[in-house]
Amino acid sequence: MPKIVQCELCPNGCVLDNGQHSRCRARMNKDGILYSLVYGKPCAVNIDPIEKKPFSHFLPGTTAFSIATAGCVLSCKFCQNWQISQARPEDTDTYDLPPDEVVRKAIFYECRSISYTYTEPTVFYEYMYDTSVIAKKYGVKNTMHSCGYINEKPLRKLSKYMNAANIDLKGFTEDFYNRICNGSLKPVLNSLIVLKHENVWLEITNLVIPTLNDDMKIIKEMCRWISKNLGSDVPLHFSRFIPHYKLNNLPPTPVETLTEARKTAMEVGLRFVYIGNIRHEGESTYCPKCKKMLIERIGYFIKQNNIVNGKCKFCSTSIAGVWS
Amino acid sequence: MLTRREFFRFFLIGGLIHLFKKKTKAEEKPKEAMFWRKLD
Repeated sequence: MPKIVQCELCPNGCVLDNGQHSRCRARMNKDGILYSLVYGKPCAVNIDPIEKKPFSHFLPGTTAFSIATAGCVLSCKFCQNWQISQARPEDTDTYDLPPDEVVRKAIFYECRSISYTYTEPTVFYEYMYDTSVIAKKYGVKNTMHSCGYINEKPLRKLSKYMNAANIDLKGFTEDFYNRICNGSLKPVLNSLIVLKHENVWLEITNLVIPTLNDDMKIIKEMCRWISKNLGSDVPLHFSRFIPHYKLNNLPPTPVETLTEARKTAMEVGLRFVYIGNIRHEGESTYCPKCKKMLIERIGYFIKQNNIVNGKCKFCSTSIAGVWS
Repeated sequence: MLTRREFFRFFLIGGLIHLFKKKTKAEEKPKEAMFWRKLD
């Protein structure tokens, strides 16, 4: 009797015969039932500044209890965490950390939030979901850094417990997603819209890779899409590429390219555009009205914060975000 | 100073606890995934 199953978590839609693993390596068909192989078994556990995720408008200056398991739904050639994202769960060293223990540790270490990050949290959906439910009960916030490559139904279910999401918009062409990430763009755009509709605080990261996705025309098109579909208050982070994994042949992103991308995004109307992975004035938050510096950042550290009750201290303009 | 008898007693108790933990872990049921369907 055939025991074939189909995973309906992400757009890959893996069809698995008995004993087969999913593309993300975190799921397996055992006798006609699909199991998660990573539930309660994170391979990375850290306490990070929330700025590292990166979030610039979500509880600045707080820490996030951060977890990840092995696996990813995509296979980006530039992955910064490929040692764990492209590994099989059995090939990584793991901790035994059930959901209630994650929340207990987050509270013990005075973390305001739990962050599902490093690899792709979609692959440990069940673990993330169960942890989020418990965390919400105890007043700990939930955040994720994801590639947004997830089906609408599971994303909507998760959104009830997710307070903030940083989604990687890795490029703005299907060709880039096909060739470099082995995925597609459309589901990511849909996830961004779903998260916005579900009132999850949203920030976007775009890793600018020389020659692959640094065309200013396409960056402009991407910023227009963000402004039109998600609003001009969504923070956009242009992140500097450092040669890694299968793209060791490319140089790091020149600072001028990042500065130009930021300028382009602001010309299109986006109010909060950041530059990451490099020391730059674009790390800080500025008031869109009076242009004064609101949050001065140096790397992940905050030097000054001039946002009071969600408003600019100088001109009282409301600044979009989750501030307390 | 531990006597030889005390040492072996602790050794034995430690071993038994370790085996018990291993057995409990092995009996843990894997987590069924949330979004999937049977195709046949």
